[in-house]
Amino acid sequence: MSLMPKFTLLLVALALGACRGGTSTSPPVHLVLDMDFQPKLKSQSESSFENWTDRRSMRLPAEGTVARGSLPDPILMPDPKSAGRNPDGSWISRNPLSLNAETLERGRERFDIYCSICHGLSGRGGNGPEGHGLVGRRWPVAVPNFHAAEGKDNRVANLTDGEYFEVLSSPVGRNTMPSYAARISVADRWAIVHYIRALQNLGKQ
Amino acid sequence: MTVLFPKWTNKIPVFAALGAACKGLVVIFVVWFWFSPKHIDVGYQPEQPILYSHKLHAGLLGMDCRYCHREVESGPHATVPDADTCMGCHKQVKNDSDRLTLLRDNYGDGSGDNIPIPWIKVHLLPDYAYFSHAVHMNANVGCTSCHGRVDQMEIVRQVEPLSMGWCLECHRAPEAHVRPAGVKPTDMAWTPTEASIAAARERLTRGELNPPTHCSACHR
Ligand code: HEC
Ligand code: HEC
Ligand code: HEC
Ligand code: HEC
Ligand code: HEC
Ligand code: HEC
Repeated sequence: MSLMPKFTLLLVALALGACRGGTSTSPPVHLVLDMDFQPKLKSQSESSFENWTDRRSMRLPAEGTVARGSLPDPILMPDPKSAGRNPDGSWISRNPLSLNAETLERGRERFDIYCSICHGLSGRGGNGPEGHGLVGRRWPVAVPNFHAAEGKDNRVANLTDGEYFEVLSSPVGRNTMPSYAARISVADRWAIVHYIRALQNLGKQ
Repeated sequence: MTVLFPKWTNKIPVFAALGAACKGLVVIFVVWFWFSPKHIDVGYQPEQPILYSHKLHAGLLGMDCRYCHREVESGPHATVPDADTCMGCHKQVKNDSDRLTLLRDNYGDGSGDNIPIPWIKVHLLPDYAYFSHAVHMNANVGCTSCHGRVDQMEIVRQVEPLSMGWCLECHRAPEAHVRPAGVKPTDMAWTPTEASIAAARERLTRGELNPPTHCSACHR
């Protein structure tokens, strides 16, 4: 064999063997280990400490303790034990978060992330082929409509600000609706309530 | 008479000399090509314990990334959702699916050890490098710049090398990755426009954006 074909063979072998951009299920090779893996625990990593049978490196706070800075805000949560209510037990009728462009924009953003998939971007809800949210369409029960309509049961459209807040703060959600208590901060919940009101006003026009 | 050394053996010294010259080049090529993170890191697509699909949830159902990756705007880690996030929907939808058996078993209802779902991490920086999602979200750098079109992946795959050279490439010229204020960082279809590049360059010259290139920013 002369030199030329040998050289081309080598090139072909290199090109074929490279498989760059292909997928692989085996973890990347660490050619030089350096300090790539240090004996420290990062967020959501697994711990092998034998006393922690759930293997989580992120521990739950000790029972009955409150972390610094996480006491309920007395303005946003007047009654820390019962979200959405005044200390006298009545529903909060006026959203305690000041309404401005910033909070409304925040409310829109959070509503689009958390609520729109079921209640629809317009808040018109529903399920089945007519549902306004893509997940709402696949829901076994009808997702309520935030807009009052003539001749319909308008209970949800007529709830007070405090009652909306309570739905978002409930640790079990509401019937088939998931709970967002651990996922949406107290201020963001009130911002969402502002945005629902803005949607309702738009719907009336 | 048998020929001990056939005629072609005369060429051996020539080949040896040529080979020695090529070997250096081949070694350089092999290291440059195969040892590069573009080869050893890109394309990692582990099999996850649950056949969860981003194409379905983020693409078809249109869920925002932040519904599940909740800490992405506020913390260094985007975090993977807990079983409760999934079960919020899957108590109602497809609640008898075989593909969700592990999820139902691990869902904390007081029984069992309550072990979190053992998702396998795809994107992994070495422990000595510091990275934070929050700063990049503040600058409005989109997920696609670093993770590709996740909404089109059935199973998540690493598409960028995550090497130091790759980080620095963007830190030196981030214009095409920084989105204007009105665009969501989770908008997968967004592509840069001339206006967005000009706006980003403006923010860079005004000093509002400071992608660091000094060592102690990422090695702290
Ligand atoms: C996974 C789907 C889903 C998501 C996401 C969702 N909801 Fe709901 N929501 C429902 C369903 C279903 C109901 C009806 C519950 C029932 O059966 O009474 C409901 C009911 C409600 C009600 C009426 C409660 C009552 O007293 O009857 C309010 C208010 C509400 N949702 C607000 C929200 C807000 C605000 C968000 C975003 C943070 C949200 N929902 C996200 C599915 C959803
Ligand atoms: C500037 C590049 C960059 C951007 C933008 C980015 N990521 Fe990441 N992401 C990374 C890197 C690097 C890692 C690996 C982090 C590690 O190992 O510590 C990662 C890891 C992750 C992980 C694994 C869990 C974790 O946090 O370690 C998830 C989930 C994730 N990213 C989701 C997202 C989402 C959703 C977005 C958009 C809202 C996003 N990322 C935007 C670079 C980026
Ligand atoms: C907002 C609601 C919602 C959340 C949250 C959610 N899913 Fe889903 N998921 C759906 C819907 C709706 C479908 C079914 C779509 C269809 O009709 O085919 C689905 C389908 C699936 C399927 C396919 C089931 C089958 O048999 O076809 C799997 C697996 C799955 N989800 C896993 C997960 C995991 C894991 C999580 C948590 C990280 C999760 N899902 C979170 C709404 C959700
Ligand atoms: C329904 C919940 C859900 C949604 C919505 C979602 N993800 Fe994920 N994501 C997960 C889960 C669960 C995992 C871990 C399993 C896996 O890697 O597939 C994950 C993993 C990832 C990873 C790989 C993390 C690692 O280990 O390195 C990236 C990157 C990511 N998601 C980006 C996104 C982006 C971008 C979006 C928005 C387009 C998005 N995700 C939307 C649930 C979700
Ligand atoms: C697609 C572009 C892009 C990529 C890729 C990227 N970054 Fe950045 N990064 C930025 C921008 C833009 C900023 C400036 C943020 C600001 O000034 O608000 C930044 C800022 C930072 C900061 C500064 C944080 C602080 O506290 O000031 C760190 C640290 C950082 N990046 C680390 C990394 C690492 C590590 C990687 C690689 C794994 C990476 N980045 C990849 C765009 C990028
Ligand atoms: C934008 C963030 C960033 C900056 C700035 C940065 N690095 Fe890095 N560096 C990284 C990341 C990420 C890695 C890990 C790359 C990998 O996974 O191979 C790394 C890896 C390294 C390594 C180890 C390489 C190896 O594989 O053994 C050295 C040494 C290093 N950096 C030195 C430096 C020095 C010196 C500087 C200043 C000139 C610097 N770095 C600036 C992000 C950065």
